[in-house]
Order: sequence, then C-alpha cells, then structure tokens
Amino acid sequence: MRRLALDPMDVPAVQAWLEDWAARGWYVESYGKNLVSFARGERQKDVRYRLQPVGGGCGEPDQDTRESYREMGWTYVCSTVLGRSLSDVKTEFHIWRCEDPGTPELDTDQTLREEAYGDLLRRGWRNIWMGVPLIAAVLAVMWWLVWSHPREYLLEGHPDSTILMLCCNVLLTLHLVDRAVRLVRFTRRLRQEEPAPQRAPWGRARARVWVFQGLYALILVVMIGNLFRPYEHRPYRPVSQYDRPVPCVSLAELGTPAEGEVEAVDFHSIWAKSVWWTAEGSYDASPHCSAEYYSLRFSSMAENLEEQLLRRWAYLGDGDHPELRVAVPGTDSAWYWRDEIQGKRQALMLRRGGQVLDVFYLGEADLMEHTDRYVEMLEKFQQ
Amino acid sequence: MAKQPLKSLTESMFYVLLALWRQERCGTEIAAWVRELTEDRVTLGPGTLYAILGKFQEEELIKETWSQGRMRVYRITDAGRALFRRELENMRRCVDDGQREMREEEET
Repeated sequence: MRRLALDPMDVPAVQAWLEDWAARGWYVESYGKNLVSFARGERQKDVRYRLQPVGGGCGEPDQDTRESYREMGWTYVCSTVLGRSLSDVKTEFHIWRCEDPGTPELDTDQTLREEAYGDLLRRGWRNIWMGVPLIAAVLAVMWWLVWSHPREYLLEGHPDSTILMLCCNVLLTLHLVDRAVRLVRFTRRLRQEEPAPQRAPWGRARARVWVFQGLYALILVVMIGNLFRPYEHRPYRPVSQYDRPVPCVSLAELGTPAEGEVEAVDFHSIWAKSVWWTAEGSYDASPHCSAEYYSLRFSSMAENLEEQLLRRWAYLGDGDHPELRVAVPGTDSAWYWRDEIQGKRQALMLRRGGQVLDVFYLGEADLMEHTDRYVEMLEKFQQ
Repeated sequence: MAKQPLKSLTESMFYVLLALWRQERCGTEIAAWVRELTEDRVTLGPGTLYAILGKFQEEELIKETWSQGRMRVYRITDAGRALFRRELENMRRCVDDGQREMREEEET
C-alpha cells in the first residue's frame, strides 16, 4: 500500500502517523519524497516510531550501528529521502521502530537531541539562503524579459504561461520557508521540553501535504496542457462583429475610403488592459492602414514597448530615430516616418500614459494632418 | 562551522564517563550499568548513547580498545578523566553552595 508522504519536517506528526498505521496493521517500508510504502503485518498498539536527523545529510546507518541499536530494542526501518544525486541518496531522517513499551526512548538526552536538530536546521536555512535567491533570480529574469520585450508577452498565444511560471516560483518559495518555519517551531518545542507526541496530531500535516501536492499537480497539468494546446490562431474579424468599441481610425476618416470594413483582432494579457490589432484595405495596395493599439497597466512598460516598436521601424528607413521624433499635442511622445522616395508609405507612433499606438499607412493622405483624430481616439479609450 | 570542544557534560555524558572510570565496557554494558546504578533514573537510548560515544571518541575522551564484529569496547583516556574530575569538582561546588545557603537559611 502506498500513501502520500507527510513532510518529515513535521516530526511528531510523522511519528504519530506511522504509529497509527502500525496499530492498523500497516508497517512503513520505505519513505520516499512523495510516497510512503506500507507492508501488511500484525496489528500492534505499542509500536513506537522515532525520527532521527541524519548527520551529514546523506546515506543510511551502517550495519554495525543497526545491530547496536537493535540490541537496545530499536530496529532500523528506512530513511526519509530528500533527493537523489548521481553519487548518493540525500536523506533527512532515519526511521527507527521499537515494539517493546519498556525500552527506553531512542534519544534520552535533550541537549544532544537539540544539537542534532540544530544541524538539520542549519542545513535547512542554508537551503533557503541558496534557494530563495535562485528563485528570486528566476523571477527577476522573467520580470526583465517582460519589461524589456513586452510585445512578445502581450501577444503570446498562451498568456497564462507567464502566470504559471510566477505561481510555480512563489509556491516553491512558500514551501521552502514553510518547512524551515516548522523545523524552527519543533526545535523551539524541544528546548521547552516538548511533551510526548499524542495520537493523531497529523491531520494538519496531511492537509498541508495535500494542499502543496495539489497545487504542484495543478501547475504541472496546466503546463503539460499548454504544451499540447495548439497555438491559438486569432483571425481578423470585421469590427462590426465585436460587441465593444474597437480603437481605430478608418481610412474614410483619413479621407481615403477603401472597400470593405476595418478588421480587428484582440489579444489578452495580464500586462495589458487591452491589445488590438486593426487593418483596413489590401496590404500591398493603396490605400491601406494597419495599426497596433496597446493599453498597458504600467506606463514604464509602455515606454519600453515604444522603444521596441521603434526598433522595428528601422527596416522602413535608416533607423535614425531622433530625426523621426515629432511634437503632437496630447501625447507623451510621438514618432513619424515617411518614405521619401514614394511618399506614400507612412508610419506614426503615439504614446500617451500606458497607451501606445503604432500605425502603418499606405495612401495619399498625410497622417500628420490627422494626428488629432488619433489623439482623440486615445483619449476616448483611456477611459 | 567548526564544532566547539566539550566544556561541560550533560547528565548522560557524565554517567557514560563514570561507567568507563574503573573498567572497559561496550555500549550495551554502559547502558545497562548506568540504568542499574541510577535505579532507572537515567536511561540511555541508543540514539543518545552512540551519539555520546561518537562525540567522546572525536574529542579523544575515550578510546576504542578492541572490537569483535559489531561489538566495540571503550576505555576512558587521561583527557576524559581530567574532564570528568573537573565536572565533578564543579558539581561538588554547586552542592556545597546550595547546602551552605540552605544551612544559613535554617540558622536564621
């Protein structure tokens, strides 16, 4: 029989849990990181289990030690596994069993017991000091990636993957800290002459394991689901098919009407209030207008997005950005480019607070004469 | 972090050294002797006993004299005797101080 393992850091809970199973006739055989194996045996009410912190953090007691302990009434059962490396198995606690109620406790010296747990605690803190900065670094890199290249994260097909990564990191941090806090509480109880563990104080420990394992499983399932989910192709649809207003300025408003209707597609992201792409007219024929509209939650992110979009303009001209800057009232910054040879291709970018609008136009109209329409549209959608 | 050398003994440690004061013994003999001497007041579980023996060997307070199979026999070293004497002296002073205070209280 296998059961979900309680966290060995809940020392009294694990001891009582194993004793309760023994009373029901099930004896622990191995204690893995996630699962505990039990073997059927006779029901015994007086069986005691004790967890002993492993000195050095790996391995099992040697045969001589096992025999010496057995002679004094304690039988080695197994060790709780923390993890495996190429060379050894990292263990946290040795589990000992005693069937004779008259046999003295495994550890009878409180000071030495405290010392052994002190070593374990130091290792636990070391793991936290090593683990938390690592998790913080991963979060920082993620944050930097989103911040410096926001466009990719605003348009990603699976917007929940960023949230999942964040959740996973937060959960790992919480788990590490939770383990250390429990060990600190336990050692504090040891110092205060901890009372003998009672039967069944392990309900909370089991609930905690279920919560953590459930959350890990959920994240894993969603991540795997994301891997197999086909990339969501979002087709352009006429704006009349949307049940909410779409931020766009039509070719008719620019004075160069085209056949057909403005088409639009929207994207969802945790970083933006709304993201719209619109297009009107054929891409390779005049008149044509396509635009990307972003309403971001953070103004500083909008500045980064503006820079990123501007870099894409390089292929339109010589990429010498300062010359493209223009002054447009009602915006924080504005950029304008016009193809000097053909004179028909134009690009305009406006940033206002957290909003960024990037317009590409092919036609006879002069976009600079219509900036007030775009500013008006930004004002309207800012609300 | 380097381990601090032993400066004082816990009760269990005291009795382990005492068990080896006059004769060499193995682990189980030490536990049985202490239990008998203290009339079950001090018991040594295997976790405690072997932790103490390991610690004492590390600090050269005891020495393994011979082993046969898994049985190991230990004897106390001069350093062990010196530490035990110092501990005993401290305890004696504690007892003297306590008794003097109590006596004075009774006299007044």
